[in-house]
Amino acid sequence: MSQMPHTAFLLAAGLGTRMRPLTEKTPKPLLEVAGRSMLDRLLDVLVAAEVQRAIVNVHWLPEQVEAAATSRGDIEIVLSDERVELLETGGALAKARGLLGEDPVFVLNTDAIWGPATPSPLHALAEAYDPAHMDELLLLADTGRSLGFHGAGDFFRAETGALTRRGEAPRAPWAYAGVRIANPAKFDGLPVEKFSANRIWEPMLAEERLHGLPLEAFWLHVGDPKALEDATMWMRCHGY
Amino acid sequence: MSEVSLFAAGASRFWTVPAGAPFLTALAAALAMAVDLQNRPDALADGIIYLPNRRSARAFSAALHQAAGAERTLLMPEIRALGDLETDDAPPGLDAAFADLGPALSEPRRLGTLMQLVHARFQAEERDLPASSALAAAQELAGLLDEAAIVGKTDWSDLPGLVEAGDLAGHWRASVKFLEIVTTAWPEWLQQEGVEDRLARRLAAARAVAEHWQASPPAGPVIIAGSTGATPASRILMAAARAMPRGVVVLPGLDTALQPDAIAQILDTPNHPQHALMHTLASFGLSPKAIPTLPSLTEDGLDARRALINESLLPADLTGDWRSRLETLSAPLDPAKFTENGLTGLDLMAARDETEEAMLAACLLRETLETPGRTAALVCPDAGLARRVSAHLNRWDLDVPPSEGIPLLHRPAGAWMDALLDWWGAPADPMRIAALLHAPGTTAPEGVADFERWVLRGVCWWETLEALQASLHPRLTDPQQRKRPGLEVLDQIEAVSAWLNDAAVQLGTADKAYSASEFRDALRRALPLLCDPQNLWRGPDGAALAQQVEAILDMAEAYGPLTPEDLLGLWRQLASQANVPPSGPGHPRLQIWGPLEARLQSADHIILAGLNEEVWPRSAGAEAFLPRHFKIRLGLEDPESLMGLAAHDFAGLACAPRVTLLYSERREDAPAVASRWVWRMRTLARGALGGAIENVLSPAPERDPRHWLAALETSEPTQPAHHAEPRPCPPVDARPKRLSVSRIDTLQRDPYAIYAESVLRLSRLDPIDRELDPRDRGTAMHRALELFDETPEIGAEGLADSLEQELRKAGARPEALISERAILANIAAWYVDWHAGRQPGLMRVKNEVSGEYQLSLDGAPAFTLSAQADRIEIREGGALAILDFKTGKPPSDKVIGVGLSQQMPLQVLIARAGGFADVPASAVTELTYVSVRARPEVRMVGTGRDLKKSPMELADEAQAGLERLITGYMRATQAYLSAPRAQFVQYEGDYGRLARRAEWTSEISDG
Repeated sequence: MSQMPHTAFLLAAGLGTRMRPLTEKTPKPLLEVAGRSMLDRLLDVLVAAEVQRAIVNVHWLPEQVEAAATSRGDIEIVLSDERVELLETGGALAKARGLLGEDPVFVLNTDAIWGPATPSPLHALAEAYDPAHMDELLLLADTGRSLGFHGAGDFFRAETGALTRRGEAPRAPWAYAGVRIANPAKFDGLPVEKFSANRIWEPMLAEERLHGLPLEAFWLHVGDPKALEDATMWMRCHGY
Repeated sequence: MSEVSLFAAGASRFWTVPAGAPFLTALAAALAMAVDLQNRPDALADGIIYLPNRRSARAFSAALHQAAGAERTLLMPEIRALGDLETDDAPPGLDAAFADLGPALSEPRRLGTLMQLVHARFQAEERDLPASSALAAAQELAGLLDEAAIVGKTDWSDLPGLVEAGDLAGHWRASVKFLEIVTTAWPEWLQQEGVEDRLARRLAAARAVAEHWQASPPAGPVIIAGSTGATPASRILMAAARAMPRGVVVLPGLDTALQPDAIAQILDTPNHPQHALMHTLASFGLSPKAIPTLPSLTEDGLDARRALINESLLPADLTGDWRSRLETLSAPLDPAKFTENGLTGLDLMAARDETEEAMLAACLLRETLETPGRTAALVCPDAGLARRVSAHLNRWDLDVPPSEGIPLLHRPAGAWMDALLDWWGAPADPMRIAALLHAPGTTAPEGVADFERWVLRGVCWWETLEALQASLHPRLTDPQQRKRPGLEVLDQIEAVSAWLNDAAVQLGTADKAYSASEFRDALRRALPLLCDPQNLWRGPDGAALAQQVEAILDMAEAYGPLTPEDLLGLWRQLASQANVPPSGPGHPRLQIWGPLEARLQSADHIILAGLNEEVWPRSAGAEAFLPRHFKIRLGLEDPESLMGLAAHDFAGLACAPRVTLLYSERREDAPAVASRWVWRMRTLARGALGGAIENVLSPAPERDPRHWLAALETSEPTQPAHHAEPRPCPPVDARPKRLSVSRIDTLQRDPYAIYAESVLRLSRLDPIDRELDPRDRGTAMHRALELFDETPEIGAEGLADSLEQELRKAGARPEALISERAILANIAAWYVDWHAGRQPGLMRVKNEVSGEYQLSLDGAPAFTLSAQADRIEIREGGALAILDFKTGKPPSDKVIGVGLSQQMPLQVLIARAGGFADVPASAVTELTYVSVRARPEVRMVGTGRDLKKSPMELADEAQAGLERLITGYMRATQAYLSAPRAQFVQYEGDYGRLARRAEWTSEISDG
């Protein structure tokens, strides 16, 4: 595929548990890295990639997220209201299924940013996404070329791009960078309830239809207050 | 220290001078040592040395003399600048090789031609383009051509293919189409004219030199020093020098400790300081660790600093695990100790803003002079900051001009030409006339001050200079004008006006396009009238001015005819980038350099200022015609590589033994971010030192300029010597004996204003080219209403026209009047109605009638009250009605009741005593305010809820009040206070500043 998805889904509802106490009064997407909120940073690259519509789910401190997103005016914002119940990374898409349309969409976590903040990873994803061979295409970060990520890694990646889980291995070279292209049809008929994206990835993994693409940039994983500080410092150090 | 000599058999052809070491001194010493210059003063006579620019070439000859031992006569080698490679004079022996190169194209002609091509493209699409926009586009295209020429690219045939393949947004496609100007039209033009682009010629010249060397190798040393090899021209010469029997290349600030993995990253990171050097070495198949340091250099104790700075500038991708890298780097020392060593001699300071930053830099420079013989240099890319520092030093009698010079527009010659060209485009504009008249160097006839006072100040009433000239006499002698100049002054004013007219005629009209030669002729004719041309073109200022003017005329020659306004646009765009180079010898020990001038130079104390993002480094600007990744695919230089060269400059300077880094927390009134280099250094150091870092980075208290600055800025608090509120008590004879009814109000509300006006006889001057104010509008509209009394048959429509006409005569702008037309029609219709309503019982009307009334007071001099009534009606039975027209809101009955607005009652006082000319003494039965505005209104004084009194009763009260007031002020002890009733002062500000109200009241006002 070389067509750019016109719609993106932003997972902005989370409680930001690991970011406490910063997230007690500010929702996590609105925390600032080097003077600009993570939400704005993501929307900036979406706008630069000429994505036209962003669906933003809200739960924790929803008014703040809504005000920040809708005040921009350079991209259409649609809210997916999860005030009543937080649905996690899988359920959120099931609930918003009607808003997603039929074309592939970007799905983005709001705690993943990269430097320099160009839209080229989005271009690369769009170019590599091939519905004939994959259902979802995940952006993968090289754990050695990142800041703020301390896990053991999520996936192994075959030559074809197909992913397998780390499983019992002590380390895996790739971490999910929080950005992917998804086929909305895969959420057809799923119950609107709490579940994580892992649930829909399982069958895809089995069929080798969950693929990954390495991120050609430096990955900043902004998971906790320390990582937020480091990310700011990293941005300032490199003039981004 | 290595004992290997530069030219020893088997010695390396490539050498380096590490960052922070004095490059030119080290090079001179190494050369002197290699050829035994002290004993053989002619040993370098047949040598050829290429350095980056003329400044370094000059400094190098001095260093060579020093190295040979002072007072020795040397036979100097040929020292040339790489930057001058393409100039027309060929190096010795190369005349033949250079003869084959086409003549170099001058920059103005190039820009003019590109402008012409841009213009033609717009015309083909039937669009219009101002000349200054064409110039902006031409400058962008020229930049692109330069980038292409630098890498030797002349073939653009791959561009269309790339556009098809790439996923480009629509506007980029359009711009690629536009680029046909450089891809097709421009090469065709060059060929047709048989000329060569400057940078293309530089590359060709480098090739010619290289070929010449190859054909007949020079016998003496051939040295290419100080270049990073960022451009192909310098790399061609390096390759050629390397093949010579005694050829040597000396690279500036090479990091020889880089590991292979880092080198691979750096080759892909154009903004890394070593990027250009690594590419150069890679092109020669060399690795940095194989490059020796010049043999003249000894261990200088700066290795820790270099390691720290180099580490902090590593490519982004390698900085994920900075902290662990530091441990490896510092072994066997512990990281804290290592970092402390590295930061010895380096201070980092944040200033509150640019003002403080400039002061700190000036203090540091000044302090250097306390130690005999010590030198210091400020390096700063912000020309404004550099000039500030220079100005501060000037206050201490130190002449340290910024090396890049002073902007031409800040010099008298440049400012004068700017005023002239500005005036030419609109010769009747009061502001532009004033600017020209007052520009130093203008030779106007006597009377400029009066011309300004009587003509330029106030509302502008003319549209052309001829109209101004023609209306001057009638207007300035008009008896209706309250203030008029004397007759001999009038002569002078007319002379100035005639002189302006003459000059404008000599220049030619503003609305015509002129060719370059016509411009030249016009200037030749008009300049002798307007200034002393000898003086204008004199000295460095004059030379820089002449160069700019010639450049613009050359551009015009290539572009085509221009209007004076176009010419002004071009002038502003080019002249704002032009500098007048410093003329004097400068200071022997202090320097202010830009980063380019500082390359290869050294000083005992290096001060780096302006270390903020977007100042130093400045990020590559947005690309006008080609996206960045496109440029790279076309093989053009990555714009980011400029950042790499800036980083190389920074690294070299920051490794100096004694260096101070300055940045501002705020710039241009907005929070500013410290430079990424400062952030990196601090981040790295904090990793090793933790909280102790600020102590290590701050200077020791006794040499902290912030303390000196604080001491300079503290002064003894001063006590005011007297009460600040003015209480003037002039002698009784000097006090006014005649005031108008409106001035009586002023005397009550703001006595100081009466003092200033009637005793000191000061009045506020109008600003130049003032807008019409409510007073002017009132007078103009009233004149129209007065005329209506004589010709009521013109009706509402006629009255509306007449109102508009009077306002126009007073100087209202036509565009403002258009929007007001509906309001004026409304007013006219209403007035005609109202006017008709007043006719029954009306016997006679007097408009604009003057009157006065003598007040005789016991023991005081006589006092005259005067008035100018707008309209007095004599009604049936002889009773009088007094009417006053307002364009704003009339005073309320409440204010009249408390005696603070007495204009109307005082007019009754005059009228009932028969004081108005031609109006018999009689009872006044009506006082009416007519408010002529968008929503017209009529109000009879003393008939409302707040005040129920007849005019005669009001007059009685007014008379008592007036007598009290005047009696008071006829006593020598009564002071004229400033606005004791400030809330009632209407036209505030005329004298508020004279009374220094801001010093003693709590009013917040800028009056």
